Amino acid sequence: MNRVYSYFLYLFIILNGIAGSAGSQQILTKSFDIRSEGSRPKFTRLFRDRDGLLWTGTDKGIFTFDGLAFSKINGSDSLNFGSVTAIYEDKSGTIWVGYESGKLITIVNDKLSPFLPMEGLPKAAISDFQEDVYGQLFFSTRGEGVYVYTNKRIYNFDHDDGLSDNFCYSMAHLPDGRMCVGTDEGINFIKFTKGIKNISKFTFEDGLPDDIVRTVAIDDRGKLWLGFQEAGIAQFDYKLNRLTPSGATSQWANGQVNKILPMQGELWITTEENGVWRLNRYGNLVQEELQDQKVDKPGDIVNDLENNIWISESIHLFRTAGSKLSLLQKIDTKRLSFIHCILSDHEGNLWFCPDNFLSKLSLTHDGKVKFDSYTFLNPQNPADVVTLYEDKYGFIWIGTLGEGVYRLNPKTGKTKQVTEKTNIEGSSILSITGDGDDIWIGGFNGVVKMTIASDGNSDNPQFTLDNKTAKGLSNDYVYSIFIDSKKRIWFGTDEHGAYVLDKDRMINLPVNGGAVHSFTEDREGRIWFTIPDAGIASYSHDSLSFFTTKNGLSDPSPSTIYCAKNGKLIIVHSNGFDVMDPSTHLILYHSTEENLADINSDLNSITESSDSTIWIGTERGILRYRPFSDMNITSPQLDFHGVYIFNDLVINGRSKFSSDENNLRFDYSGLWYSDPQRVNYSVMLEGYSTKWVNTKDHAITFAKLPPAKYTFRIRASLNSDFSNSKETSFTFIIEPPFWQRWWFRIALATLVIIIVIYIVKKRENRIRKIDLLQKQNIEFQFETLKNQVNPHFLFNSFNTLINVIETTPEMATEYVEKLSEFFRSIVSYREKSLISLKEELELVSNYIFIQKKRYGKSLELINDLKDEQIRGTTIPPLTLQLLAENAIKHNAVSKETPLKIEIFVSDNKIVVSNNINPKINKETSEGVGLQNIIS
Amino acid sequence: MRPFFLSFLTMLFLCSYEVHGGQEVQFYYTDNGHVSFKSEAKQLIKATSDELRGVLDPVHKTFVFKVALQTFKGFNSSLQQEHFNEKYLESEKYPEATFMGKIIETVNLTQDGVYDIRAKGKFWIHGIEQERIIRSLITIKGEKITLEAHFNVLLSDHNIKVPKVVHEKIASEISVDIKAQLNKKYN
Repeated sequence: MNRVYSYFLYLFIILNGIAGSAGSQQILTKSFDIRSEGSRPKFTRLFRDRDGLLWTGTDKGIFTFDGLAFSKINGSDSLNFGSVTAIYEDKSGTIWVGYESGKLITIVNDKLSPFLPMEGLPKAAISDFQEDVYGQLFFSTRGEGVYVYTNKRIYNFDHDDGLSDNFCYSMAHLPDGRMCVGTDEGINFIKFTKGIKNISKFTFEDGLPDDIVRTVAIDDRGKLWLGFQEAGIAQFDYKLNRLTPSGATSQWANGQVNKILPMQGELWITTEENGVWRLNRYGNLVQEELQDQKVDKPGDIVNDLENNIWISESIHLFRTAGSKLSLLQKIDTKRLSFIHCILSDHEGNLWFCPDNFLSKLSLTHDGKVKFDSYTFLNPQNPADVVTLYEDKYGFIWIGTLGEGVYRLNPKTGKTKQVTEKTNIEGSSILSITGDGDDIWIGGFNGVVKMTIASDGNSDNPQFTLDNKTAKGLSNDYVYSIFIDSKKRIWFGTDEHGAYVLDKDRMINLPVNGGAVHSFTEDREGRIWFTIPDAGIASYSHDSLSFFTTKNGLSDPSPSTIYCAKNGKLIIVHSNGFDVMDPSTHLILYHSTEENLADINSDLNSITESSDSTIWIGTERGILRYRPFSDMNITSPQLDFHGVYIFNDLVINGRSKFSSDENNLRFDYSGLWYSDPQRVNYSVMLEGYSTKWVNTKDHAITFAKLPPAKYTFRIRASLNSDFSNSKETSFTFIIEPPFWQRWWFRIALATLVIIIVIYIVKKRENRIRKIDLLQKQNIEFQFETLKNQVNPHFLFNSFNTLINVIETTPEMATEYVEKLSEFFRSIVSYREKSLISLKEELELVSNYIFIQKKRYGKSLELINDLKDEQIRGTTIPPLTLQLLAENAIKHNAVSKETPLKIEIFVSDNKIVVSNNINPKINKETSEGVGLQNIIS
Repeated sequence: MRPFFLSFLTMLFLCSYEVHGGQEVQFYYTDNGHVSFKSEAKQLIKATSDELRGVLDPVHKTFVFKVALQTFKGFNSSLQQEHFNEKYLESEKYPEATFMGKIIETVNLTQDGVYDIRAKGKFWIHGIEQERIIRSLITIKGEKITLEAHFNVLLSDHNIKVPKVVHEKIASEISVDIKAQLNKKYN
């Protein structure tokens, strides 16, 4: 026993017990409000832009709304312009906002700028905007007529120009290029071409039912509608310049018309005194009850791109599914519940079975609903009706649980049980379908094919039976039979999956779990069917593909599947339904957010009427779904709010950031107003990561991004499948810091090279200098050595010695000692860099002593150095001696010109000086000695 | 165009007189208002006139202002003045520039105060009429009204043809400043 069978049993029990005690709720209306810094702004205007984003004007400024949160436009806080009274988007995508104070602002890419024309701004409230085909932007005011902004210049239309009144409420752009303006004194048609104003008016005197025209609107067929202060609404034929005779309301008691919203062939009307009204496509005014919500004075009304309707009222913003989705729970006093099967016949009547009788809903010519009931079962033997089928004669076939098949003549209302010699009599039927005169019946006893042989138009037709065709299936339960466009017959069985009878060939398509419940065929000829606990399958080109909750289905066990006339698949489950594009596999959802919980619909519970309305029979009533024929399922529109660096909005599309602007936040919203919580995002920062990250957050922050080129990519989806989602991306560069830039590197390298070259040069110089010094040092040493062995000096010394030995031999020893000491000193000091001054002075006195023996009194050394000056002072060796030697060498020394050498201290320096006695015959000098001392 | 003007002025006066019957009708007049203009860019052309004449009816908020183009002085060169009168504006043919119309704002101009108003009217120059909204600041004090305004004139709007040779030199838009003191007079 599988799940569906027990389910039916369960229903069976419930039906015998309680029926129709469901609550009396309709499709959910949800209310939103702005809580902004303790105050609750009042909604004054609503607007939906071409990308689908909702803009709400309030008495506290302008906000965007993504279905979850209201966000204030950057920079609007500082404005003190009063209430927002008009919002518009021009063809270039610029949002225009008009204020009560007459001020105007424009918003481009979330950046706001005040509009400051040279002509100045109106002082009266801006009431509406409209752009004409020439790109001229009209804005109407409450008190100053209409302005038109063109070629950066503003022109005015007012009473003096022929406008009926300067107090203007609303404008509509007519298909003929004119602008219709609703004023306190009728309507005006205005046009501005090449600086020429063209105005024509139509007022109460011309036949308007009311002078005060609060709102004007153009519907999708180009018809002009007027909403009055007191007289309700009227249609105006602007070609013939008169009211459309049948287009006006009579006996209007709902007060002032605030706004008219034309949508899908209907008009939605907000009124000051009596809530929201709808002029349906049959021309009937219906009051819309916004479930659980009291809407006293609905103000503005707009539709979003999903055709939800948004209504403002004071601090509340309401969302309803409009006429797209509604749940019929009652007709007059008849409560509708536990609808197991539903059928729309060729006349547009709706057949269904609440309880155990058959009901018919039909629309009368005036748009009213008529309800008929047909009893066909013995009240002693109640049975649940599970399937309905209309044959080619317009007769309704009724399949029951346990009571077989009945055929109803809708003209007479008479029902006849089909009692042919088959196994269907008194059995449980799950599916009836057919093709021409062929009728296929499936159920717990397998499949029967019967053909209407004759008298199909009568209550007693003749049948022929065919028991052979569906052989092989007869022992299995058959949940559904479906005939596709190629006349193949599909059977959904309980244990062996799907079977398809293609001409005479029966092919089996086994599936997991074995059971197949419901079939449909899409426009491309693919066959789709539901599999309990395994989602849905699609069959094309001899192969099956499967779709489960992983692919985005809401429920693993859809109860039924149906391909609507707009080509979309409707997959009904116990808490709503999914709408899937069979080619892209993108899915929309209608479920608990729209109050579709526990609808628990059954196998044959979906049908479509000729006006493309989908009817779904549910436990809670009949669900009416009106998809639009041009419905295009897309992934949620991404609204990219902007990039923030450390919480500051990046404006003007800047995409190059410096190295310290590396903390970036991206704000975004995916727009799906019907159920905003469903939106999932998948983001990737290319250049940082190669992985898509899935999130529900509306913002993502990247901190401390290293310098590089990045691309932020984002996709939105209503499920976890992003493969068909549109992608939005933002490429930006974080510049490296200056020390990583090429120019800095080049400069740095140049500098390094210059420094290296400088150092090398300097070193070379030093080495050359050292070489020179060494050379000079060697020369000095050579000179010194030369001096040491100066044969002249030695010869002179020896001559003097001989002289001394001859004259004063006692002095000879001393002389030789001094000479020897002098030479020893020279030898020992030569290697030292510094010797004490005392040692040097001794050396000098030895030298002078030796020389004195030769020159006698002609040579005199005067040492003025004091002991404390000598002590502790050091001096390069032989310095003073060399100076003394030079003095002797370069001067004549004789009795007449004695040479006096003085050593003293001056300015903290040791000075050696002598008087100058030029020689007659100069000795040659190499100038080496002095140089040695200097260096 | 010119005869129309005169007749308009006369009409305006007469009407006011008629409407107010025996009452004292008050207008504000000037005949020495200051007008200066210059090209937006680089002051390639500039001139001033102190002979702006005008009348303002504070009750009906209507006005007429006009200036004779020959009265403009202070050009960059006498050649420029010659070009201005002969070639660009043809001031022998179209001797005056005129702005007449009505104040948009609902302000009471019979009371002292400072008003930021917008005047909507018809602006004639070079024989071509253009509707303009001109923003101006008016100060009313007793018997006197001082008026300041600034606006731009697009040469192409008034079919003012700048000779080809100097086409690039003269900006396509000329910026105009007005300052005038109007005194009350009783009829």
